[in-house]
Amino acid sequence: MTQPSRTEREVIEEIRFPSGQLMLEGRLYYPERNTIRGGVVLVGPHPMLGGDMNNNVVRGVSTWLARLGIGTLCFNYRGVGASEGKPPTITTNLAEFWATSRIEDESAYADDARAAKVELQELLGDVPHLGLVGYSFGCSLLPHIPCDQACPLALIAPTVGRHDYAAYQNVSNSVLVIAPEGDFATDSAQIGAWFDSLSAPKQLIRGEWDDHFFRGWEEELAETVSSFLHARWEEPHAAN
Amino acid sequence: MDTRGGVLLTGATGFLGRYLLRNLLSAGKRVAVLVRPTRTATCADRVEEVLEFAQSTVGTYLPQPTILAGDLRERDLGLSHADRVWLSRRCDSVVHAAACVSFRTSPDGEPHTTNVLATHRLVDLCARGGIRELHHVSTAFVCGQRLGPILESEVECGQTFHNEYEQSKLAAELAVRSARSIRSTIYRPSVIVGDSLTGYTGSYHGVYKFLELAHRLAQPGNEMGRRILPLRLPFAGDELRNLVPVDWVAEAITRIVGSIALHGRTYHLTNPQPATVRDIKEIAVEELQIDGVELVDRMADPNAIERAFLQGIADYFPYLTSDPVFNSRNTRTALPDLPCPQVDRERIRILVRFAIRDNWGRGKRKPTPRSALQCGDYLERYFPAAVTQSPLARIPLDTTLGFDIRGPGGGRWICRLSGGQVISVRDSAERPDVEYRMGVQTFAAVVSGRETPQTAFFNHQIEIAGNVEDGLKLALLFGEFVRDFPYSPCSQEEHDDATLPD
Repeated sequence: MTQPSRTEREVIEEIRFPSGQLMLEGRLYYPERNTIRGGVVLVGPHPMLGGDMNNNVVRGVSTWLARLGIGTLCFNYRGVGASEGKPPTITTNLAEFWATSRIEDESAYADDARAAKVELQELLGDVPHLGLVGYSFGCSLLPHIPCDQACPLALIAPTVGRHDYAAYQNVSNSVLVIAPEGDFATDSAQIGAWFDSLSAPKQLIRGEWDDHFFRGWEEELAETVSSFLHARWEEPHAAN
Repeated sequence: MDTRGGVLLTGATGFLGRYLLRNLLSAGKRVAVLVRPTRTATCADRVEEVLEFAQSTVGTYLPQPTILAGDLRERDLGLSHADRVWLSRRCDSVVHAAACVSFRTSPDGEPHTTNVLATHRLVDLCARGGIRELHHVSTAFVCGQRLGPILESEVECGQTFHNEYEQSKLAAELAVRSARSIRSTIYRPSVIVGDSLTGYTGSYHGVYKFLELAHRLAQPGNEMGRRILPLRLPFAGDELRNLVPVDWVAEAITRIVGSIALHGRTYHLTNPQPATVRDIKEIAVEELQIDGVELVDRMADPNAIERAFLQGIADYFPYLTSDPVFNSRNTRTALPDLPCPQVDRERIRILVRFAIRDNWGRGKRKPTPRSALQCGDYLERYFPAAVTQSPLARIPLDTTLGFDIRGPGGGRWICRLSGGQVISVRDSAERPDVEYRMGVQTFAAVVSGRETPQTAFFNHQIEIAGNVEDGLKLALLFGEFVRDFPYSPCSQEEHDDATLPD
């Protein structure tokens, strides 16, 4: 496991980038002094369940990945924070969301995630390695982001059974699944069955991390993700 | 404390310091406090009083800080050898909030002694003890007479100063910044005023001085209950005063202290929406029930009362124009979810009312500022009435919510939401579908709209029992509701007058 640099600090740049006709807001985290070893897009939770750039996991993981040498781009989905787009109308959509944990036009969030990946590549230029990290609902969007074989995917508390994870059947990239015990958003058996069905190189880590929320575990979470990414990137022929 | 990781807090018995102690302890930090005895109280007495304040405001038990008897103005901060060894083994950071706010040089060398000399000594102690993180509370007014916009990155710009205080605070900042082995984080609040929710203050400087003087000089008027003060004040009215509530300043500092990622920078803890002199004057004369105070651009031939007033506020003459414009980009980026509360007319009213009740610091202190928020008033009266006017009334929710709120004014309530109506019951044994558990302080922050319930949950300030998913969804909905219907707390005697928004 890569040890976090206690002395390294991260730089945070506020950015804006296009997703179709809309401009989204994002933050790029990167190490202040050390070389950027790779870059990831962190795709966040559902906008109606704490899904913005200020979520503790999004902020915490971005911060620590940056300190560990990984440039990290997180963003607000359309309609969230200062990102352009119609905000989800909670009172209108609540009945649907209450019943299904879904709202209208969720597919557009995948467009935003794809746009973020394009932006990351623009920003980091010739960085040798790329990866994708999802948290909660964001995990369901990763297979819809075009990336090559060498791009590892880290899934933090995927919402299997609640959102559509069928596209993972066609994924051949290395996958890390971090599944908290007692996660309200999925159940253990469902995660196990889905994980077993994956044909990609894969790794499953289970543990007790404050249900679905990782409050107080953000640093350890980032270390786990970083170790996975660095290990995959150090494999022969891993350059993107 | 059994390992490093502790925080040494200076100035813990001061106005900002007591909020910092409360928030640091609430955040789970292990805190040591450097305290000196006074003629009337031991170190332990002083800390006990502050801890009582802290516990009464958060409504929960807080761990006792470690007391280090010392004096910042003395060599080695007046600490014993054993205490210095203890400090170097157990603390890895210092929050330096002690300061002297006197504007003029006194015979004993203040404010230089406390602000500059003591800071040098503290820096030296940190370096020798291996303490690597120093959080230094400075002031936004180290900019001196510059007009702005003042950047957080700016330190020495050849500025001149209004007084000795500003100069001493800049010298202290430079001492901290120049320490080689220490990472310094600088906080620059503007003018700290009372608690944004209750008005509580322990310090009657600055704008309070103007108000107190007006209060003291006013004479009985002809109309019952009214007083008269023929006083012209040399303001146009549009001058801006950058006031920041103490609870926000303390929370901002605590959050940054708790996040290593945010260390090593300078933060302007300033208000992006300053108050105007006109608003302050208008609210003050309303609350003080004084007639005859006018704002005039130019003041010629002052009368006797005006001369007395001007003499009383002589220290503040240099500040008669607008405060500078402060750029606070670092703070906004670091704490996007913690905006500074606007000190608008209603908040000014809360501040003035507290000062009057407290007789400008001479009243009997009741260190329970948050207890003014009666959760029962909100849950049993305000919330059910406001819901009928809100979009919540149109949502077919049928659920029971529990609120377990710890602290003065708290308790346990069960709220049944059904058919767009809310029925709240105190202390029912019923098991709700979702129960929210929090302290009074968090509850106050949420219902006033200062913090969203989801953010409070992700920050570990709220726990959800029962169906967590429903709890989060309801929290989102409740956050929307509060945005439209924020609650301004008022004291018990004011409840009858409290009204819902139109």
